[in-house]
Amino acid sequence: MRLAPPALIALTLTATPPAIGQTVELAAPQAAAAALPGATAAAVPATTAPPRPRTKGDPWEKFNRGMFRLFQSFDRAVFRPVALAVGKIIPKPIRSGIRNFLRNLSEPVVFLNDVLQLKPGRAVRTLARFTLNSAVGLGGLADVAKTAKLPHRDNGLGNTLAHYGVGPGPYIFLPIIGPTTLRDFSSAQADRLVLPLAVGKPFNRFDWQLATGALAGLDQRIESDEDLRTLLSGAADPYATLRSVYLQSRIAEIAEIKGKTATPTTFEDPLEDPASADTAAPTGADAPVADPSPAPTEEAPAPPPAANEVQIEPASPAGT
Amino acid sequence: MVQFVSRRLVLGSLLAASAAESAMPALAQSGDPSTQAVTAPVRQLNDGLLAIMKAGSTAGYAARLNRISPVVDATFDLPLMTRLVVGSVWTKTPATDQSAVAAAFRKMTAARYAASFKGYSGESFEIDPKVEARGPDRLVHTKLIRPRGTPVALDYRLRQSGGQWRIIDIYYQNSISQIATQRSDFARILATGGVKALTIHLTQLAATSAK
Repeated sequence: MRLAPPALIALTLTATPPAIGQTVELAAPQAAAAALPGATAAAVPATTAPPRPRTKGDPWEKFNRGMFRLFQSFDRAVFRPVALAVGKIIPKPIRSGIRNFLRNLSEPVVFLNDVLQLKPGRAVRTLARFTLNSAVGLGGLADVAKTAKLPHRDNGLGNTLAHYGVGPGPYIFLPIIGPTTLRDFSSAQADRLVLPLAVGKPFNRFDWQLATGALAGLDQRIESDEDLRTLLSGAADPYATLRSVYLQSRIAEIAEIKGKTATPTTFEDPLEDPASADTAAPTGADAPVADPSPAPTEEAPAPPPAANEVQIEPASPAGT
Repeated sequence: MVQFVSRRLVLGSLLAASAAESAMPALAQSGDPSTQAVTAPVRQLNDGLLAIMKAGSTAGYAARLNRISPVVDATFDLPLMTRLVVGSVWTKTPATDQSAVAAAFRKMTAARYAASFKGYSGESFEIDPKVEARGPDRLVHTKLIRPRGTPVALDYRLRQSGGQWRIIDIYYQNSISQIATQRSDFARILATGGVKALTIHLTQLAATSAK
């Protein structure tokens, strides 16, 4: 679940205090609510999660939250300590070699999906990259293509389906696999079948899949540790934060596949001021384009019509 | 998880590369005084951040906070951002709770900048003079340039308030909106404990930043 180079998330919106060694707690909302004056105590049972409005795009939220809690316990007790220990034992160059090798093996699937999306330019670059790294890069251990301006560009059936208009379906969180959607999860399984079916040995062997899966998973956990901590340690609801960030990033990725510009898709949200929502007179002329992606958008309280006029600020709360 | 990662990295590099050359709707030209009015707050924030980064740990957290707080006040429309993250319950919130949550949001925003921007290793910011417009809002594209590693795209959404352009949202790597993320993060706490619980959470966040 690596989101970005570590310092960067800290530098931006998700900036959180550097909670070193702190584990992500789900208890924050309850804890905060419990600290309230008695009035709200009845509404917030101490032990059970209170009812909350359903989130668009996440109909399986109850199951997902269960999986998220399970993953957090497992991560705290086993996964993270093991991954960090492995990271200390195996030197970085060897880990990046393994990463390059496994990534190189994914290039045929990337190529296939480049073709399915009718992107010949990308397909040719992927093929060139695979050939170069396999031949000169010691079977993919060294990413020589990257220095030759042929960086890895991920692609998969999930993107291809999205390209042809298939929506994401329900959001899913699964331990180890992390955040995904029904479309992306099932597509990933299909992608994984390509090499075993097309090439056979060793890709169709269970022990090969287990070993490569474990290596990739551990490497990923090591690399993403600081990011995850930064992203989630300050979160009131880490589950919802991760879901939001994942879905937003997928929407942007799919917009990019479809050839949209570098404008963030969330810029389409009019972000209407709740304090002046009832006075805003919507007009159709400059209405925001409908969400270009079929992916679910987060629960935005903003109503759909655009607020064209400059918002008239009400008396600002005394926040200074 | 593996896929998520590599996609994010790919996306970042792709979009950063295409940002400069992409055809955007309603482009304003650089040098236009109205455009400069839009980019000025972003420049001011970047300068402020660079200043506290350079002050670093020798200055300490409190000094960085003192320095960045007025910059955050001057460049962000914090009251509007508070209303946006609180959402539709805002109008049903008593005025005292409204001002309390706005004050907590303001403190949290400044505290997290002071806590996160604590060291300098050659970073710089680049502001695209071309400003994008949609409705009442403007979008300023910027890049965080690092001596090592790929640039990070940070886009600022601004809206006019009292004749001044103010930042109301930040987009990380052209995709992740701060307001959208915070709305998701706070939805549960708002549903269970209301605006008061959110105020407590934000106050705690600001307090832990000091550590």
